[in-house]
Amino acid sequence: MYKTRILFSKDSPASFISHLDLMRTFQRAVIRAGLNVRHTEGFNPHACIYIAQPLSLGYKSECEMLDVILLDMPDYDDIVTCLNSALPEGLKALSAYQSARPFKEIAFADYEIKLIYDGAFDKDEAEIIKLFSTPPVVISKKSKRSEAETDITRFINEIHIAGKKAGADESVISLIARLSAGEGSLNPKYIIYAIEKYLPGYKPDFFEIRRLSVLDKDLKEFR
Amino acid sequence: MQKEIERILPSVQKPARYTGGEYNSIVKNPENVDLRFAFCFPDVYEIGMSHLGLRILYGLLNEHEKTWCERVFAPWPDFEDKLRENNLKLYGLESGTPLHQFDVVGFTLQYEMSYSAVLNMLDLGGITVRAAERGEREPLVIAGGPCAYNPEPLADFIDLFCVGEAEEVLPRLLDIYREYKKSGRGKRDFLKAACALPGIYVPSMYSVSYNPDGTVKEITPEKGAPETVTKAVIADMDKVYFPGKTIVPSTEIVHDRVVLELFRGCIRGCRFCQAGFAYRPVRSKRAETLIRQGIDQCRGSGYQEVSLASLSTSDYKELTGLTDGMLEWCEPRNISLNLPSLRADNFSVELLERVQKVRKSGLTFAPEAGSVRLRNVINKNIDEEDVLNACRIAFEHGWSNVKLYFMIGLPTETDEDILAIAKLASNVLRVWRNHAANKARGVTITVSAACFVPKPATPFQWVAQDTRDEFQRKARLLKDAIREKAIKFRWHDPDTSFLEAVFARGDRRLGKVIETAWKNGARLDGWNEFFSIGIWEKAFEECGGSTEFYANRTRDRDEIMPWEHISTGVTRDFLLREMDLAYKADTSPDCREKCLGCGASKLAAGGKCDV
Ligand code: SF4
Repeated sequence: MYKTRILFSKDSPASFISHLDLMRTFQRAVIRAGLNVRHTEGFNPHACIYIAQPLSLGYKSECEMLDVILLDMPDYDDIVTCLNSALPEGLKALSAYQSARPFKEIAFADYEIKLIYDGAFDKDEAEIIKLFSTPPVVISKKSKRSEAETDITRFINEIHIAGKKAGADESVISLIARLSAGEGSLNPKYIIYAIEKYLPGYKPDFFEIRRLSVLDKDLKEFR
Repeated sequence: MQKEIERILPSVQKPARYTGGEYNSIVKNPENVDLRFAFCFPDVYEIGMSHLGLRILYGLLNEHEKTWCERVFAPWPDFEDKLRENNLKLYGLESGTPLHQFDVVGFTLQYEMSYSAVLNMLDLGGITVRAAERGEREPLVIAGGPCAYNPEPLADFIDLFCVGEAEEVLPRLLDIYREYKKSGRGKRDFLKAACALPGIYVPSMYSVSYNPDGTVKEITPEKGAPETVTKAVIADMDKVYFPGKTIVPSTEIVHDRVVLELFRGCIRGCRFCQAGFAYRPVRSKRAETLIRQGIDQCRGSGYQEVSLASLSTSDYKELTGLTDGMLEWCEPRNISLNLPSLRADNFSVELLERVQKVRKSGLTFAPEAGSVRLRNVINKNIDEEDVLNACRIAFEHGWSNVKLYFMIGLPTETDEDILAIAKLASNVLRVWRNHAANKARGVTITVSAACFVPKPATPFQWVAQDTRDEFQRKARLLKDAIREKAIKFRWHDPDTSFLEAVFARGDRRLGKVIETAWKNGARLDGWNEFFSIGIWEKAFEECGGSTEFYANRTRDRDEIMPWEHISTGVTRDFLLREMDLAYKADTSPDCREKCLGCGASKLAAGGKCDV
């Protein structure tokens, strides 16, 4: 038995596959890829797949991870090639490797948050950064059990402007935010909610969120 | 994906329905094809993708290098609202192309309650709803599926119907279409040429006149149109196309598995069953063909469940060879095998164990009627002893869940027949008490009662449906007669069945009603949360038609039916003979025992049925 981790990206249109459906999709993909993987017991056995850190519906990612247990000695390059011929549009295996680190060591995640405005947008984006660097920024935040007014700056390790594109048709402000993940995580949508609440003039017409990387508590990339 | 669509997806339920991009979906370069076909299923993604016919025709049409077939499903109302708000059109999932830019738009009609969705999808796709008002440059709109055995209610909206099995005729039809497209000749010319193909029915080439009492007086074909359109059939089931690679949805659908079709047609002749007559003659695939196709599809899809589907699976002659062969391959690969539609009379321990090896789900029986007399009327020749025997075997082997399906409102039904349903269910419970392997687990027996809908092309096409009040009364009677806690009673309120009965045997005057109901908001009528009988009643009021005329009226033996010019191959004389036997509570043997000369063998290869 070889516990194997697969790093993959999730892009449109697969970004609209829910967490549960993603498991099902991979359960079938590993079989199409010809991987001999461990199955669950019972009348309807299926491949055991563990996916780290559920991603919200509609978000994209460059750093998703899942674990499978292979029954044959793995050839990692081969796994990536076979899996990529078996995945639906928008999912791409990036690498396969052995990893002993449990997913619960993930402590932070970097997100790109694109604020998209129809038409020209000329307000000063520095205001956004100012907002998050002056606590408290209080938003009603849902957790598994409850919903409470929460100062979300506690969960923001770092936030900065990565770029701005102003056009007559569309303007885009890109933020990069390093947010708590794992226990006590912050969904990046709260950054948008905070902007809507505190800086109503900056409310985007649409937004796009992409997970760029996940990190451990020492801010080292988690693999 | 279009940017505009991507923007609305985060705000709708189950967005994966609308994205395309599933594994094995087919994307072609539009520059390299000369015919764009939109396969439309007038229900939501999860239902449509569960349909084997869609998967077959999708694969088949795309085999042609120059044809690109895409899929379109009815949107859930939240997505429809967003499309309309943003002025977007319904589109093909593979390319995002709006429906009105396709060459041919084809609907599959699986049930009458999807008619409003057909109109809605056309409209959402930017296509003129009425065929006569549709421009030369708008797509050709075609339809097929079981409802095409009486296509008349949709005659105003559909340019052409494919009656029967489409695998051979559809590619031929598209080839003719190609030529017409190239030559720049009009749609009219194309339709005239098309109606020479088997099973092709062009409603605009027939005129219908009516008697003062509202019944059909005459159906007159235009010059060049066949007097009778006989359904198209596939001669050799082993040679007919079956997809090796089937789409694997990225979101859960209703039947999410490999489905193998063992045979078409049915030897049984249950008198209420349209499929049982309309799909004749019986034609089977060889077990080795099925095993090969099953393995191919499992490999190509990663599905870990295979189900064997046909009207009466246990009548398949090579069932043992097939299940043995499939299991031999499936078991070591953790793939399970399902056998739906088992019959109680040839239910065996052996068969049960074969299924049980891999899976143990509930058992289902469909006696359809409670009393022997009424079962004779409908020619459902199941013995109560057989059902009880099958249940005993099942209970002894640890099953604790039995579902029993019945119909109420069958011709000649009396209150005694209704009460016999309750009796049968308690007998099943008694068998459980005496034979259960493990009583501690308890038992659930579910009695489901559906309201009988008389269908065209069956021996009951002449009979009146019970009124809704009568259905209500009978259901109450049955409910009160079921006293044991372990027996659950389920039934659907009769509004839907009533409308189904109206449209199943409707004529082309109903087009106005469908259009009015759709304009007043009818959408996904198959869904309880959207179905509103009020909308339909109002539409009938506005259009001045009588629902009772269609649903609750007994037809004269020689009345001309609105579908008189459409033939399934089974003769009217045979249907009448069967109706007469039904009213005498006389049964008919199955085709294997004795051929009754229903007429369908004329359509079989060599003029002989493969029973
Ligand atoms: S022709 Fe005879 S054997 Fe064939 S379907 Fe009809 S009754 Fe059955």
